[in-house]
Parts: sequence; structure tokens; C-alpha cells
Amino acid sequence: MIPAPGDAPARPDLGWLRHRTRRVPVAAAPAPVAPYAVAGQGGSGSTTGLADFLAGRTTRRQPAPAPSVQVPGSNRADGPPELHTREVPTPGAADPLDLGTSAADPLDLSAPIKQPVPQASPQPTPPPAGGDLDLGSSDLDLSGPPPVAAPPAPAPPASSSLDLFPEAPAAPPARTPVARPRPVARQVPRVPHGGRVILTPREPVVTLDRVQSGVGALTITAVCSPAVGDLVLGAVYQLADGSSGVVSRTAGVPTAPPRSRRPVLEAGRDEHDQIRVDLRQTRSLRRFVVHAMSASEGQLAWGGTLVITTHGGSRVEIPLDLAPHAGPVVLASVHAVDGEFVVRAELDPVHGLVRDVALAHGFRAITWADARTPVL
Amino acid sequence: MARMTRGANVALTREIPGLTSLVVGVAWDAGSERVLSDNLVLALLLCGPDSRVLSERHMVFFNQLTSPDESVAARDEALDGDQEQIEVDLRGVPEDVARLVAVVYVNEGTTQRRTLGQLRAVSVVVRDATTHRELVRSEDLAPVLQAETALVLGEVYRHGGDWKFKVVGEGYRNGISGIAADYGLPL
Repeated sequence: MIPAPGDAPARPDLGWLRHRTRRVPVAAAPAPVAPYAVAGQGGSGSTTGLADFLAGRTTRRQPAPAPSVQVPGSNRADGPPELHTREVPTPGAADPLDLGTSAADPLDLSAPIKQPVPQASPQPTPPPAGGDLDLGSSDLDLSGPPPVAAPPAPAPPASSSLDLFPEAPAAPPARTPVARPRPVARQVPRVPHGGRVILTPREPVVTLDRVQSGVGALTITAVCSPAVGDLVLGAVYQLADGSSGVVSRTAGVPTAPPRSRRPVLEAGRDEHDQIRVDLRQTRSLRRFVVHAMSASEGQLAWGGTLVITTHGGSRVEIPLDLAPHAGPVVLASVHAVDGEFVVRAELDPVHGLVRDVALAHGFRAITWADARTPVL
Repeated sequence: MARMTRGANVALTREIPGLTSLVVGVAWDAGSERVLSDNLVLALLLCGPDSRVLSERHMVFFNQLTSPDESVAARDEALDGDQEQIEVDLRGVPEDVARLVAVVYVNEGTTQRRTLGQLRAVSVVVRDATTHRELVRSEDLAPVLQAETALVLGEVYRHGGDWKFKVVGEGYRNGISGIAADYGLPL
């Protein structure tokens, strides 16, 4: 039996089972997997389809299972006895260990193959699952790699009940086994050292490494001409201890935590309005958002650029090209993830005042005297 | 115990057979200078034979607690009277790492500037990580410091099949940026 996925034992040897990232099917497992599971388990086709979907594999429904992949000596005791038809000549029968049989051929443009074999059993074939999660229609196989890609030789998972590779080859395939594909390492956009990155609506996120997030200070500057208006920067933050608060030069709380001798965040003004993060204390910071608004609560002629500078001079720049808007605009968010700062351009206009910024971004552990004034 | 002077070196694994893991620590006395002691950072740079840091992942400090291979790890809480400590599993250090350079610097994250010249004392200490036994301690490196904001304390390095330790004691007036430039650390 295939148990519920929640009860299945962990498969540390199948790295892709732990990732939802869709992968190119180069290393995709040979497709006989799916037909076999269908053959053995009748109605469990949707389970297999779901597993394939989670694995990012494209599979094709095979209403007629190919019994030829039943390896002699297979110890699947739960298979129906009618399936003992391994002598039936089928295209794959010549080499029962050939995992690259027709079902796996990604260049096969034909519709799901009706095997020319008499049905091995009167067992009703599972209906093609129409509404389930099987997104891997045969059309997607067109993008597959040429079939020369040797199937990886997984270790025989004979004991696993989540039997996605039931036909572990008794002998190694002709080609030398390909090393198991490495777990998917997600590539994230980075800031080149000493270089700059411009965040756009299409590429709004960049990640600073642990050195960029932990040495010196992070300086966030609104580089704007006076024509923009009386723009002031502020921040709403959450510390690692869970406490939240607001930093604002004009509201009289220039530091975080308030009245701190050793602030984590500090609002100030040099040539432009600025917020500075003390990276010696980077580990006590969980996240913050930077917003800008008119000091007189009027309307700003948006323009200029928000520049985030690291100690080494690397820069993240967010152009402030916004439609006229009265009220605060959340310009950027910074989340500390495992020691790394993930910077995101938000450019999110908020109706209201600072309290509405805090509520819109989930900073709920702040109390307010009024919409401008936090109780700190 | 005799204190090692600048430039002195000792063959650690030859003198102490069976030494497999070290603790490199820094002991400082900042007096009442809280801002200074709050902003001092110990880091270990994993360098190749050319004394260049292998990558930004090869700086072990409070915000990057281990090297990629996990052979070098910063301790959350320093023991034995040191202010900060980093542990080195000598057997696990990758072959391409030839030198482990210990530096201390003033993090320039606040507007309040401090220098290492304000330190009353600073020295580098090497201990056996398994027994906590102090193996070597440098002389006090503070007396000659003035406007420096970073200091190369010393380095643990391969020599033949052995690991040696050398006291360096070289100061930098341009802080961690100066050390980064000399050792090729991408900031």
C-alpha cells in the first residue's frame, strides 16, 4: 500500500522531495514510475500525479500500464496476480531494465500511448484525472531534454512504502551511474561588492550577504532635490525580542529603541534625510520598513532615489518615481533572514499616517496616542 | 607563563601532540569605555597560502558564525575571561585554507568614534578547545596603539604538516576596510 504522504517515511536520498522548486527535467526520473504505480494501485493515480507534480516532473498519464517493466524477481507482493504477464512482447520487453522505454521518451509527440498489448487484467484502467493536480501534460514533454540523458540510478528503495522508484535496477544500467543531482540551491540576486543594484518592479528584491549585513553601518538615504518637497524618512521596526516601534526624526523618536544609549536604528539628516542601522547589533533586528512622507502632511512631487549603502560602498538604489500621493509611502522593507538582509523595494502608497503604515505591514505590537504618535 | 612578543611563533601541533582543536580568543580591557567595548569585534579570516580570504563566506564573526565547512565557529559566549572567542577544528580545516588570521576591529556603526588607542590592554590567547588549557598568550599589544581602529592579532597557519601560531600585532588606522583591502576580503 502507498500510505498517505504524511505517514510516508522521510527520503533523505531524494533531495527534490524537500523542495517545491520546479526543476528542469534533465535529472527527472524515468517515467515508468508513474505507469507502474498506476498498475499496482489502481485508483492511486492521483497520488502519484501529485508526487510528480511536487517533484516538478512532467509525467504523462498512461491509461494502459506497461506490464513489461515488471522485473522478474520483483518482490512486490501486493500486485494483483493477474499482472504476471512479463512474457508479453512489448517494445520494452527486450530489456526489462531499460528505464528509458517509450513512456520516458520525451521526444515522443504522440498522445498517451495505447499499448498494443492485450490488457493484462480486467482491472479497469484509471480514468484520466481531469481535475487533479497533474499539470504535466504531454505537451510539456516537448521541452524535455534529448533522451540521451541517462536516467540517474537511484539506490534501491525497496523498503520505502512511498515507492516512487519501484523498479530499481537489479544490475546497474549500461552507462555509469550519474551522481545524484545536488539539492536545489536557490540563487538569489546579490549586490556585487563595491557595486550597485537598481531595484525595479520586475526585480524588486536583493539580498545582502552576512558581511554586508554585519560590518559597519547600513545607511539609508533619500537622495531628493528640494523640488520634491519636505520629505522625511521614517521607519517602523521589529526587534529580535519581538518589540516593535517607530523611528522618526520629526515625531521626536529618532532612535530605536527609544531613548537608547545604543540605538539599533537612528534617524538623522546630513545633506539628505537618513536612517542608519548599527550593524554591530544586526542580530537584534528582525525587520523594518522605511517610509517617506511630507513633514507638513501635504503632497509630495515624488522623485529622487532611495539609496541604501553598505560599509564597503555597495549600493542598493530604489528610484522614487511615484504618482502624486498625499500620505506616507512605504519605500523599502528589510528582513533579517539567517543573518542576511533581504531588501525589497515596496513603493507602496498608504492612506493615512504612520499608524496606518504600521498596520498595513503587520507591526501590531505598537500602541498609539493618535495616528501620528506611538506610545513608546 | 611567558608571553609571546610580536613576530614570535610557536609550533602548536608539534609541541602538543594530539592537539586537534583550538580556541582563538581576544582579551581586552576597555576600562569604563562602554562604547568601545560594545563595538569591538573579533573575526577570523580563512585565507589561502597567498593570505587572501577565500570568499565573503570565509570571514567568521558574530554575524557569520561558521565557515562554510563548519571547521571554524564563533562562540556565542566567551569563556575563561576572554571577551570573544572563535573555535577551530584543525582536522576539519579545508586543504585550501593555509592561514587563519585573527583580527579585532572597532565596528563603525555609530556616530561615536572610538579607537583602539583607548584600550588599556589587549592580547590574543590560544587555548586547547578540549581541555580549556591556555597554550599561548601574546604580550599586551595596546601600548603602541593610538588612532588605530583595527588590529591583526595573529595567525594560525600551516607549516609542513604542522599548525603554527604567530603573533602579528599590526594596527590599521582605516579599520576593517584597511584589513579587507590587504587580505582581499570583499566587504
